[in-house]
Amino acid sequence: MEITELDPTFKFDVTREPGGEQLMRCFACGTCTASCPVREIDEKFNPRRIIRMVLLGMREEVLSSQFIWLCSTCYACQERCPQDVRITELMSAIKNLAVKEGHLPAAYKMQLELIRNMGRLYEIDEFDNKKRSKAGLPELESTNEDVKKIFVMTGADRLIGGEEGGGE
Amino acid sequence: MTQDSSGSGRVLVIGGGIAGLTSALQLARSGQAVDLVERDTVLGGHAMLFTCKATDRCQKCTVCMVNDRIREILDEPLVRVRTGQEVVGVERADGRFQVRLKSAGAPVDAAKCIACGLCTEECPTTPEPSISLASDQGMPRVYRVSEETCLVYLGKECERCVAVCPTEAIAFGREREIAEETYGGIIVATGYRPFAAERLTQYGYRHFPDVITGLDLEMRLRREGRLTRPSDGSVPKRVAFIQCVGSRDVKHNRYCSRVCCAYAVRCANKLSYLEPESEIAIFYMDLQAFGKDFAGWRDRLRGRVRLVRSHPAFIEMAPEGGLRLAYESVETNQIDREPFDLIVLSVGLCPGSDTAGLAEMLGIGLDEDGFLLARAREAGGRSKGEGRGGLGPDETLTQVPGLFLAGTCQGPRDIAGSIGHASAAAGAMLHHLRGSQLVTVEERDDDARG
Repeated sequence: MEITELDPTFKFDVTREPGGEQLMRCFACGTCTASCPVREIDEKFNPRRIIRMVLLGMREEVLSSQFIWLCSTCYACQERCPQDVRITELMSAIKNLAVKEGHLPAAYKMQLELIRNMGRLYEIDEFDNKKRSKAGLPELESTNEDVKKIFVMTGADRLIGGEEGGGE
Repeated sequence: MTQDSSGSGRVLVIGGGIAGLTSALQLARSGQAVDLVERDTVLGGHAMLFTCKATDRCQKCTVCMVNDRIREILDEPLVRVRTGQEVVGVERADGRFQVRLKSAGAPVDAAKCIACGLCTEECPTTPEPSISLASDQGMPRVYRVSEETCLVYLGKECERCVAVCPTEAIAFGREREIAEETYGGIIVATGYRPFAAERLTQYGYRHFPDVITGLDLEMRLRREGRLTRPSDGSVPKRVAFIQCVGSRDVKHNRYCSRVCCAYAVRCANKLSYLEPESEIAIFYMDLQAFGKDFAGWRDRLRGRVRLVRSHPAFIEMAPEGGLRLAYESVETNQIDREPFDLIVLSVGLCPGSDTAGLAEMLGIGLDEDGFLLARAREAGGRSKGEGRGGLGPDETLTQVPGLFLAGTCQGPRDIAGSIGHASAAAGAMLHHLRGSQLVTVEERDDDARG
C-alpha cells in the first residue's frame, strides 16, 4: 500500500462520530483483541488492528470491509481497555460512518426494508392472525405507517433508496 | 549551627520510610534536631520489604540503602526516633507547629526492649507465640504483641511475659497517650500504598493463589531467598510478569508509577539467575526506561527473559489445572492462551489511604491523582522542566510555609528518587529555618525574563 492512498483525515472523521471520541487514546496494547469472543472464532475481526487501520488512514479498507460488522457488542474490550477507548461504541461510530459513505451491507439493507415496510422483521400473514384471534389477541396490520414516518424523519429511508424504493 | 540557634526548635519528620529517614538524617547532619515519627513499630517502610536484586553482582536496585539509613538514624544523637506513634493533630501559630502525637499504647516499650527473646520463649500460646519480633529484619528490633491471639487481650489470666522481661519493658493496659509537641517545621514523608490488584478482576488476584503482586514477589524472595509457588511450594518453571497493573490506566491511575518496569526486569533477571532453566516472560505495553543505564536491560535479558509487547486480557484456570494467560501478540496478530506456573502483577504506587485526611489536617491540598500537592503545581500545570519525579526544591514546597513534602507522598518515585527528593526537602527546610529565601524554578525564570 502506498502512503498516498492513506487518508490522514479519516481518524478525525471517526472522532467526530458519537462514540468515536476516544479513538486517539489507543496505545495498541492488545487487551481488546485478546478479550474478544468474536476474535476467538473469526480471525478477521481484530479490534486493535481496526483501530490501527483507522489511525493510519485506511479509509476504504476499513469502511468497505466486512469485518467491522462482526462486533457482537459484548463490551468485554470496553470493560478492560486501560485507556478507556470505549471500543464497542467506537465500532458503532465506524459502522455509522461506513453507512454514511454508502457501505451498508446487503443483509442490513434487507432488514431495514422489512422493518420499514411491515414495522417488524418478519411478515404477518393470515395464519398468524388466526392464531392470535384463537388466543384472544387483536389482529396485527401487515404494514405499519408509523414506522414508515420514522424512517423518513430519521433519514433511514434514504439508505434503502427512498419511499417505496428498493426491496424489489 | 546548634539545634536552637534559629529559635525554631526541633523539626518533625512524619514517616520512617526511606524518604523520612533521608530527610531526618540530612537535617541532623546539618546540626538540626529532629523527631522522626513512624506509625509502625519498625522503621524502613515499604522499602524494607523488598529483596536485594543482586545476582553474582550488584544490580543497583538500592534496596540495601534502607538498612544503611536505619542504622545511621539509630546512631544519630540529634534524631529522636518515635516509633509506634501517629500524628493526630496539627495547629499552626506564629510560624510554629503545635503537633499532637498519639502512641499506639503497645504493651512493649520500644525504648526499654532489648530484644532478648525471653518473652517469646515464655509465651504459652500455640502454634505461634503471641509476642514476637515485630519484623525479622526490621529495626529498631522490637517485640510486638498480637491482639488476636494474646491471652491477656482475650480476657484471660497470663502476663507471663511481663514477669520474665528483664528490663520491665512490657506492661498491659497502657493508655493510648497523646503528647503535645512544638516544632519549627514539618517534613511529610508518609509514602504510598501499592495498587490493590484485586480491583482488576480479570487477573483473579486473591482468587488464584499463584497470581501474586510485585510486592508479594519481593517479600517472598526476601524471606526465602528463592521463589516458590504459594499453592504447592514448588519452584515455578514458567513465570510471567504483567506490567502496568493499575498504572497508565485511565479507569484506575492514569499516571506511570515509574518503578514497576525497573523492579520487574531486575526481579526477572534475578529469577533467571536463581533458576536458569526457568522460562520468564514480561508482558508490557511499553517499557518506560528511566535512568541512564536502564535501556541496556533489553540486551542484557536477551535469550533469558522474553519481552512480549502485549497487555494481557485475562488469566484463567486451564481445564487440566494451572494458570493460562490470554493475550494477543501485537507482532504476529495471534491470540494465545499460554500456560504459566506463576504470574506476577507489577502493581504501581497509589496515594496512601489516609492521605486525604492528612492533607486536611496539614492544611494542604491534593493533586488530581490524590497525592499531596506541591506548591509549584498549585496553579494547575506542572512546574517548568520537571515532571512528577523531579528532585528539585519546587516539588517539596507546599502552600504552608515550613511544611515540606518528601518522597512518594507527593508522587511515584523509586528509592533513589525518594532519597533525592527527601534531601531536597531537608535543604528547603534548612533554608526556611534560617530565614533565607529559596528561589523556585518559576521565580528564577521570571527574574531572568525581567
